[in-house]
Amino acid sequence: MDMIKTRDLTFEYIRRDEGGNVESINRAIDGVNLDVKKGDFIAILGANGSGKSTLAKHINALLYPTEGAVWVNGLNTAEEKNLLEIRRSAGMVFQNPDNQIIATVVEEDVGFGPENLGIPTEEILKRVEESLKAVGMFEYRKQSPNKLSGGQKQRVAIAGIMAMKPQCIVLDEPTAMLDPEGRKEVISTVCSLNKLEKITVLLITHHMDEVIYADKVFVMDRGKIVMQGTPREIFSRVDELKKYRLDVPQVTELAYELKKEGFDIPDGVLSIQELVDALLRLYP
Amino acid sequence: MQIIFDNVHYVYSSGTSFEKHALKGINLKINKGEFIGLIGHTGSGKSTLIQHMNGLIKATSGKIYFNGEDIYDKNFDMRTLRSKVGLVFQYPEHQLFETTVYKDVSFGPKNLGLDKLEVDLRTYEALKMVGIGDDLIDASPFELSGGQKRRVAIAGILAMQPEVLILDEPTAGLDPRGRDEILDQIAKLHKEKNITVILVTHSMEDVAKYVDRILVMNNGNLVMDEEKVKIFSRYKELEKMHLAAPQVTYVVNALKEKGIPVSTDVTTVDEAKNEILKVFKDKIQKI
Repeated sequence: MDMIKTRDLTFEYIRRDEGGNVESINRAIDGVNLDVKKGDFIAILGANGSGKSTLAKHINALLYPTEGAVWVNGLNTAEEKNLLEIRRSAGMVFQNPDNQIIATVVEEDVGFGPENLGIPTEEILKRVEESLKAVGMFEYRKQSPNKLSGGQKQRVAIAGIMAMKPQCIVLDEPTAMLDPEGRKEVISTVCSLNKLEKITVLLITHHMDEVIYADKVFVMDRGKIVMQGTPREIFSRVDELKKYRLDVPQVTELAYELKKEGFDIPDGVLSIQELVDALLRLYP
Repeated sequence: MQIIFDNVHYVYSSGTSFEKHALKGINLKINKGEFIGLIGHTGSGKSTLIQHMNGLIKATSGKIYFNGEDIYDKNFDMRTLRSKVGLVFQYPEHQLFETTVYKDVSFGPKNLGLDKLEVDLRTYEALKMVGIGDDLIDASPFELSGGQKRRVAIAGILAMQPEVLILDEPTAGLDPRGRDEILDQIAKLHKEKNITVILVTHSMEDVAKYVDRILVMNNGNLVMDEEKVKIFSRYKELEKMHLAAPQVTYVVNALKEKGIPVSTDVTTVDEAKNEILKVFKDKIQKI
């Protein structure tokens, strides 16, 4: 069964004036069909306003389709009786870590979710410990979150989701406000949750170098999915990506430019090592 | 010398258990017309440093001079400093508040007490500088896209006609094209108007592409202050401070380690391409 499935998903932001008359309609998502298998690591790219975040909010039923449908773990998000189960199985992490942390001690923050699910104390303690270990923040469990770095706060936020035992995590630009080290921490945490805990991951980002770990990349433009493929496939289409206001990692661009100059380099180079190896092979 | 920091210290919440020594003896000289990158991990003191530059925070000890004048002198006019040193905060679009783009951008110059004509001129010029067309001038700022909002917010600062423009993470959360558009416009402004620009950012690629000189903050200390190429050649030290060099700098360093005679003074894709072409050209038969 698919973890996430959408069929002809369309969503319109409708603005009304004081009298309730429709002033304007903005179609943020326009007929999106998405199939995400359990355990997949999916990345979604797209310009500002392309509909990425609106799509993400459909996955844990913060928004409902105007037309079409969304199923999470086989449950239709439009049916109210499924709501709790959907929100339990699909957790969300947002951009600003400071808006997501509520408690004064790290472990209490992580325990907040399961506590609200009415889980017995013993089990909560166990989950808090496991989640903090999974994101590498266990040694900070007794600390105050406001003393942590941005990357650490974001990992605590992820642990808070993990403690709810979700099957899927949706991350909406989780690294936009972080320094390079913080970004690395968060992305490697997400990768290990995907590989080791088999959590399905949906990562929305503007940082092209974070996408290379994904199994599959979707590119959105004006509410539609316009490109999809493995990171290598996507990043070998440099000109097309630029058309959608996107970019490729510096090393991919360098490889692409050198290829245009006649260098025998494979398409869609993703890492520094790959490019260095390709160049070493060419050098007599 | 436009801005001078002379042994500036700043301590937050002095005397409480939250006491934090955020700036530790900063000595710094900034010349008119420079384009400077300021990098450092979260909490390294970057934001505290820039807030001293327009007097939003007063140093615990030490002196700051603007155009040769001591800004803590009792005769110094802080208002002038604030209009000459424009500070664009993170997510400046959160500070938009007026009902139209025009009103928002003209708010600053109007408060300077300028006449209507001058306010108009400055507002239109500032909007033009950030690439916002006349068609949007009467729109509500809240109807604009993320990138447009941010440019309107920056225009609000430009309308004050600052001599120094400080931008704290101006591209966070923007898509790659939006990022390039904003930085290209700032670079153009720097070039045409000779404005001093200080760019605070986490993106090493942006720093590499635009600035000449880089300041590196670490735990409240100014630990490096050199031209761009020299800073990135110390990438191993940068990594210890939770920073990094641009990807292409790593590529040329790896090639060099393997015995290929490339220069490692490379920080942008173009520079890397030219350097690799130069070195590989006569070595490979068919290129």
